[in-house]
Amino acid sequence: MSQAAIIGMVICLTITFGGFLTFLVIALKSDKKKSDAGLEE
Amino acid sequence: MSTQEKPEEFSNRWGIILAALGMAIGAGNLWRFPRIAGEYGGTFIILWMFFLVVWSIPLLMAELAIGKYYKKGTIGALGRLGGKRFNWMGVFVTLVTMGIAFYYSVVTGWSFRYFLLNTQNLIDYVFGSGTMNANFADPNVNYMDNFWAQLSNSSWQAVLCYMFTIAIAIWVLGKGIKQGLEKVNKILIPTLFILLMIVAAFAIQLPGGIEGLEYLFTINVELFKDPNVWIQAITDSAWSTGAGWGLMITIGSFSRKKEDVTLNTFLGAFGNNSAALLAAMAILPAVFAMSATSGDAIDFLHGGNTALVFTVLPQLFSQMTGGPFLSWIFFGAFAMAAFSSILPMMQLIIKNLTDYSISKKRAALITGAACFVIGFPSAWSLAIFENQDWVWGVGLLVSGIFISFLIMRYGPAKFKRDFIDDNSDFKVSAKYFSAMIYFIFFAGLFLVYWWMDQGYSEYPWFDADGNWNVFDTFSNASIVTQWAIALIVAIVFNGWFYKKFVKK
Repeated sequence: MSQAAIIGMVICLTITFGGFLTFLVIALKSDKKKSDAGLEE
Repeated sequence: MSTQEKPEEFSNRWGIILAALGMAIGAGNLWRFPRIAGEYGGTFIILWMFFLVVWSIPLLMAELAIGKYYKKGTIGALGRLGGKRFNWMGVFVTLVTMGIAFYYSVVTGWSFRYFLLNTQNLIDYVFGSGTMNANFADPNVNYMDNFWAQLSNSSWQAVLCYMFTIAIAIWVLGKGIKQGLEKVNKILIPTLFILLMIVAAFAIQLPGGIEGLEYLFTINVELFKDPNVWIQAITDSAWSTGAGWGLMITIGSFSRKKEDVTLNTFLGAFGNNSAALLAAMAILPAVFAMSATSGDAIDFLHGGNTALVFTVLPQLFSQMTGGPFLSWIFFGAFAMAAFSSILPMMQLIIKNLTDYSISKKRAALITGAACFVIGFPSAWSLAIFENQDWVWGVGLLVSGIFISFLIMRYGPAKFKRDFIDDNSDFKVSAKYFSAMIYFIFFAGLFLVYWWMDQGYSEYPWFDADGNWNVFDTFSNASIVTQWAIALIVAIVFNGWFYKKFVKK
């Protein structure tokens, strides 16, 4: 695999999967916080 | 008509997110995105991610908020937002998505038929003689081309398959949001991700598979100067995420009051793009690994959506060791993606009917009957299917324009404060949201013009004899005529729709 493709892969995967995982973690943390505070049903 | 039923809600944010993912991850993620991404590489992917934030997320966020705020279907919610004067816009948005639901049930039916075919092939490969797979692979037999040609034209098999799709969808949706849609999505979406990961993992380690990744990810800076790549990126984002379809309004109408609109939208939108990229990482390496030369692989990718998935891929899979197993997994994922998308489309119709005080079960039956009757021509003729895909696909851009117009009229910053920010763990800036809403409106107008100007039909308006070219699959005359019918219905019956769906 060429260097340009590797750089492209790192950028594309970081933006896409990285973004998804970041928001997933924020959502999980938020749910945990609400659950700890007894707000969640 | 009757029965005031208890309002239904998703159990929690994950119900909404899975529904949003199910809605967005569809056939397009598996048959369109990998083709376009393979053509333009990493340049396209970067622009496609850019337009996710610029076009799709603001629109999806607005739709989810409108549904959550008004707790009504698309006609009722957009009618409340726009008032009686602009109520017809909500009716048009609804009619466009209904137009898509009618032919999309056919796509889902095809996907089930291919899954069944690959199941038969796998059983024959493992326990039988393997003749079926040998026929798939033999270019002289032309098995897959013939199979697709028969299925897509005047085929009772196709009709049976889409009837089966509609029946299953009615059964699921008739059970309600928590017991039906939410439960099914809990199984479909994680399984879909796992299946795509398996295909990607297999395909990448095949000899030549890496070449597919090379095509997918190489960033050609020169391509940033090509307006075509920008237009493909924004259009794919609009079509793939379901922004402007009104489906997020439907999902939002079942959302609890305390749900976080902003975070749920971002998570759903990035999840959709992750699934699309995963699909591309499965399909491109598979096509490159199994093609004789890179040139052949590129030709296959240029062959079009249905050709790639329904003829090229099964033939390529059949030529490799263990291919029937991989093909079976791929078509399982494809069927799941298509089915998870038809559900919210049908739910959109059901929700509007229940707003009209029709019971849930009756609404599901009416929706199923409508899909069966109006979807029939698309199941019977590939030309009609392609026409409907084209007419209502471009129509979605008009829906996006209408929704952004209604928000502009309300005031984007005020809209964000009143509709979106409530219960949001993190908030986007008012300047960003406002700018994007204006951008969507004007960019949408340009995109509609651009797609209609592409000259896919030899005679876009009038045929060689000077007649209005309405029966041509890709003509502008066909688009304008069908949109005009939808608009006339929406405008002529505007008062009736407002009284029955909005004021009620």
